[in-house]
Amino acid sequence: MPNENAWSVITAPTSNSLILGVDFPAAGRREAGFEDLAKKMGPAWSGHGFLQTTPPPVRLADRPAGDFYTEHWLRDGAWEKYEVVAVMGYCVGGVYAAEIADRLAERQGTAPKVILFDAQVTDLQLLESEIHKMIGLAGPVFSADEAEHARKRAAEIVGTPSIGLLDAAVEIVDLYREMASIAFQRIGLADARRDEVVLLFESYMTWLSAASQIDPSQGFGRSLAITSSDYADLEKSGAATVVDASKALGRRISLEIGHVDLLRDDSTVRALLDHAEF
Amino acid sequence: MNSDLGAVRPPEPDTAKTATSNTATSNSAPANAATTNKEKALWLLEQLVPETGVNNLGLALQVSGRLRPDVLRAALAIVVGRFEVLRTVFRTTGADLVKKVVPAGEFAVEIEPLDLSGDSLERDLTAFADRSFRLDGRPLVRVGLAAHPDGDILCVAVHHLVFDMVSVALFLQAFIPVYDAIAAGRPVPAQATAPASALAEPEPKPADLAYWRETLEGFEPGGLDLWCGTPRGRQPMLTGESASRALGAEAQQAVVQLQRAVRAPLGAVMLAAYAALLASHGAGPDLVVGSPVNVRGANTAAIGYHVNVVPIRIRVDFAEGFRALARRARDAFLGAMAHADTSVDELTGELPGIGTSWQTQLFRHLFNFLPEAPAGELSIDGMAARVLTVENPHSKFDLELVGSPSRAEVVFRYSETLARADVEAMLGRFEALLVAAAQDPDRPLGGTVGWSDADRRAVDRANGTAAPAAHPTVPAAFRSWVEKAPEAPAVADDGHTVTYRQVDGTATAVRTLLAGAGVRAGDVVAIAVPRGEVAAAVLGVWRAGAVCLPLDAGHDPSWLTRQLTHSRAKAVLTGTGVQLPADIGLPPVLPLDGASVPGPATPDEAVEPTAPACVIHTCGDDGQPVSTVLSHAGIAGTVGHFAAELGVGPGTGVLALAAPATFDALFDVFLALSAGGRSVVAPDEARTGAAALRAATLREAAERHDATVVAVPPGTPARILEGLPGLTVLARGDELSPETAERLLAAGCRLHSGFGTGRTTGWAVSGRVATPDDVGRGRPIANTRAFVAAPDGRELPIGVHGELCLAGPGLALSDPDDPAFPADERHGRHHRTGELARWRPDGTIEWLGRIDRQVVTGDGPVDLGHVEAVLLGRPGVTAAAALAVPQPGGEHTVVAFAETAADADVDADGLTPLAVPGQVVRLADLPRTPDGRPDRDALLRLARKALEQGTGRPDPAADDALVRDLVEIWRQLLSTEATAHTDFFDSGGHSLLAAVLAQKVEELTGTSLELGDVFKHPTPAALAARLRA
Repeated sequence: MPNENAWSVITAPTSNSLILGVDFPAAGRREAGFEDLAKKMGPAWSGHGFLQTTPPPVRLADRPAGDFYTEHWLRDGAWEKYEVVAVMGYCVGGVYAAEIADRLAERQGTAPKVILFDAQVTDLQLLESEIHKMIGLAGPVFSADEAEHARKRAAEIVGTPSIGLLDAAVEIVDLYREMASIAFQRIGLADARRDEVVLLFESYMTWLSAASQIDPSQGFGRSLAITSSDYADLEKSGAATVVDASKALGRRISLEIGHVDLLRDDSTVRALLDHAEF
Repeated sequence: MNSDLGAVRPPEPDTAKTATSNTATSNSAPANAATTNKEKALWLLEQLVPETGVNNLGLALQVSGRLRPDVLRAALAIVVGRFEVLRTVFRTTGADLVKKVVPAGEFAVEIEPLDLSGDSLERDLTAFADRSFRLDGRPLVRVGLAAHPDGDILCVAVHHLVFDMVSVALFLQAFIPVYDAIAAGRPVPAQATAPASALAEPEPKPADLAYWRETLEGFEPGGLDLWCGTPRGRQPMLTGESASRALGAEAQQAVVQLQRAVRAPLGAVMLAAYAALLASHGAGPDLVVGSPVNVRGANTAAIGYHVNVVPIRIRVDFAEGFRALARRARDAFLGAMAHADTSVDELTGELPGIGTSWQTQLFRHLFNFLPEAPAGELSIDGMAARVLTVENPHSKFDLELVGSPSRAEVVFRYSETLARADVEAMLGRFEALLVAAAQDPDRPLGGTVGWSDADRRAVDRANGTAAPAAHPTVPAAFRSWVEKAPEAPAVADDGHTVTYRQVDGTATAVRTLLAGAGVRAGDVVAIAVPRGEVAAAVLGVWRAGAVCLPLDAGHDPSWLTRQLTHSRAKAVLTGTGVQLPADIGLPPVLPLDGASVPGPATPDEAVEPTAPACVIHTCGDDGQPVSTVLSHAGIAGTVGHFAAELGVGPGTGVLALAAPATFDALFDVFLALSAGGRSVVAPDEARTGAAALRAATLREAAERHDATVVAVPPGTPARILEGLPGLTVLARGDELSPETAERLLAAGCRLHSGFGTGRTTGWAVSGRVATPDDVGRGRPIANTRAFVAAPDGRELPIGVHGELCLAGPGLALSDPDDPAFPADERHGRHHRTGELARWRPDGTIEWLGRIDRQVVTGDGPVDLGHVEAVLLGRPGVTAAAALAVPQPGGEHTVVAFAETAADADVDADGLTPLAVPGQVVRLADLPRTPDGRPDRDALLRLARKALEQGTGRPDPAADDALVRDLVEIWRQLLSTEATAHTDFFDSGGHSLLAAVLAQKVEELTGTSLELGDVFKHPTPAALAARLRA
């Protein structure tokens, strides 16, 4: 088996054939994940093992390069015993999926299929939007002034001339910690709790900002891309993380379903059955 | 699924017996006082719908000018300072609710800005009043003020624990003079500041309690549900709406006459009419209706919660007239009033089976017929003021009649279980009922109650199906096509096509062969022929005047023996390649190919339309065949109707897909041949085998022979037709899931769904399916009438569920004493189908599943047929059967079986939560009875075994104290109902909330938890296991 610290098993392999899924599997998120997809595909994929990435324990302060993640995933393990037939990525995970597929193609001699779900690239606005999301979730815990302050500060951070993504991420995490401190104190939660939540956020920010250092265009170009209606909306509104990614995509199937359901909807299953053979 | 979460538990017995309110009046260190059961009942109700203002009352005033916030603040301080009850706060302590009075000096009511930015003033006021009050010691009064171009608006929201409808007027009487005085700079009148202690409710009186005990003895609340609307879930929403109707002059006159005629006060007349209406819609007939009574007694000015809802028990007997019912209602009404001082909530927990959960409330219908307080002219500070209605968006009852003697308008407030159309129709029926009662107070209610003219017109219109039949019999129809187009193709089978003339020739030869074998008119002739030869064989039998019994040579030999013996068949026609087992005791066997010997043709017997045409066998409980005999007229009428509905005409290819030995096989063939079309035999692989193979085989056959119409036989997944775009499909509405319909429509199919029973000519009701919602409804086919009947045989109006009854030539012929085929004056001979159905306002019939397949599970009613339809819609499922397995306590657990070759997805997606089976069992082959239907006895044994071994057992997690505590935390944080298996993150939880969760769990258990633990164990059951590990 590939390195167990780097991969979690969704379906144990019964042959030498593997499917890989790249995602930031933050437990507790609303978006469906590859486990949901595997369940939905049922017997269609029963001939393949299905593994999903586990993020490496890395801090922003380590300033990981883009290949830090792919190295972590592909480093150890008995890869030579398996043939990876497909690499899938969800959201920004698509960037890493493209990179993994390229590397595996060299290594195993056959190019795995690249299947991308709402493929996005990272930019500064994506980092900023995470602060907006947090304020939204915290709801009335923040006063209007506090919320406004946080939004303004986030805009300032990403608006700093020539700021790099990693630097911006560090500052965004600081802002997040500041806001979380206010919120947690107000609802009477211990600092240790706050630190846990901030750490989780930092891990996600690290994942996002490291992805910005990868050029996924080659893998994107030969991908099968499945996109949601939310994705199409973002594209229409000109959101760069989506527009830049979508320009590079290969064959694309646009579905009339939301982003959160993309990995569990029947129409996705049908699209995969019809267009993705491996 | 048997958790008791969501059930309202009665208070513990020790708290139930506590003394009534003893609010301290001293201003020093007020102590917590116990609350009454009536107060606790409000609290318990609130727990069902947390974070709502279900118990809030609102009042609003609009003045013709400006209200001054400083004056308002001062006036409010005086009013709440004066009324102790408005300063009473409540607090929950564990499983109990306590209250205390806050000293006047420490109590302040803030004036909030009233948000009027919504889309209407009414909704803004409702939103303000509906914000929940927390029972944590905070004030239960909220005041909002807004400037408005038409004059300022004041809105006051108060919790029912300290207020009621009567209090609204009392509050205004107390408030306005104080405001006026302060605004004018006058001293506040002394009587407007005199302290008013909270009025303590009297101790429960033993005599009252005895009265309620006696009145309610033996009452079972299970029968209170109306037969309309949607089933009640375990977790109510309690959202409500209102519909109203102004009574016409005739009805107003009727009410006056009835008071005199039956010697009952107006309230009792209205109550009797309400009870009759409820009973005619399925509640009761042993009914308890709640009615609010003001119990202030002499303390007429006391603000507070001083209303008791008294239970009025009335038995409605439809054999009696209105007079008798109104007398009983009057006595019950007056008796209840006399004992209203003691709240029936005092008996909570004592009455067996009542009030232990939301499903077992003592009453679900309220009669709120009270004198209206005269509104009068109001003025504040010299400005005119008018009272605005603040609608509470909830309904605690399924239906509430709101009316007053001074108004000729009746309002029905209703909960989300009823649709607006249902309620508006009920208002019309209420009015019709009053008019009919006044015409003859002694006429039995059963004849008129529950119908309005609008109902009668709609149902009569829907049943206007009379139409001349295209042909009196199928042989006559066939003959007409032989004459018109003898060389037209009649049957196409695997590349081989025979013409009408050829089929006619073979049928004539068969008739001669039968005559030679001594078959006479009325004899039964069995046929065991390949499907390509069915047409000629059956037509030959009919020309001999004989009755055809289709057999399936593939069935078990012992079953074939039983069929032949039971039917006393005179002969068996066998087709090409069919070999019947030699040892089954056969009557003379006549090979069909022996019929092609040339010879003088025997003249045809005359075929009477009413004569039996075929007999179909199903396997009875004792293993013996049960016969259904269908007439020529019935068959001709049905195929004629569907030829028109499905567009079958000369040249149309109709796929024959049904199993031999069913009526559907004859329907397939003669749908084509009675209309000049072509019967295209689907290869056997299209009927059996894996779904993919079936689909491919069908596609090939349809393309090869240009078949464009197909009727989907029972038990066949309609999914296999998805590869056939443009096909016209007739599917059984009870077996077609909306999902499959959607896919067929998307594939370009023209879809019809229909419905019939095994004791009709296959189909009796049908309709075009334009959207998936149309599945499961249709209109009676030509010359067929439908009605919906109550268990006592009363015909039911639009929207009310009951047994579907059918009348018309398509009914099976039966013995005169067959209980499934009664006859009455109004409907003649008809068929009680055992199917649940209702009329829809558009004149279609909606079928809702077999009555004996409606089961009550721990989570509510489930239609087993619906479960099967959803499973049949799953890829890879070739057959499905759902069973109800009785559980201790009278409820059932549903176990579903899916016949599937592969490891198909048979999860419960697509089913409403109520209909999720306790377990889905995959089987390679369903056990079947000899006639090919799923063997329910064998399945029941398998189901019991599966429940013993599997996950269908009652969930032990639900009875675990730790899990229960965790569920409570889930519920609080997510503001929604939760069970032991609610995934925190699927239900709206996020990382910040998870941190709160972790902290709360830590406080509860003392075990330190990391956020990651919550992520890994996101359900109460899982987290409890982690905490114990």
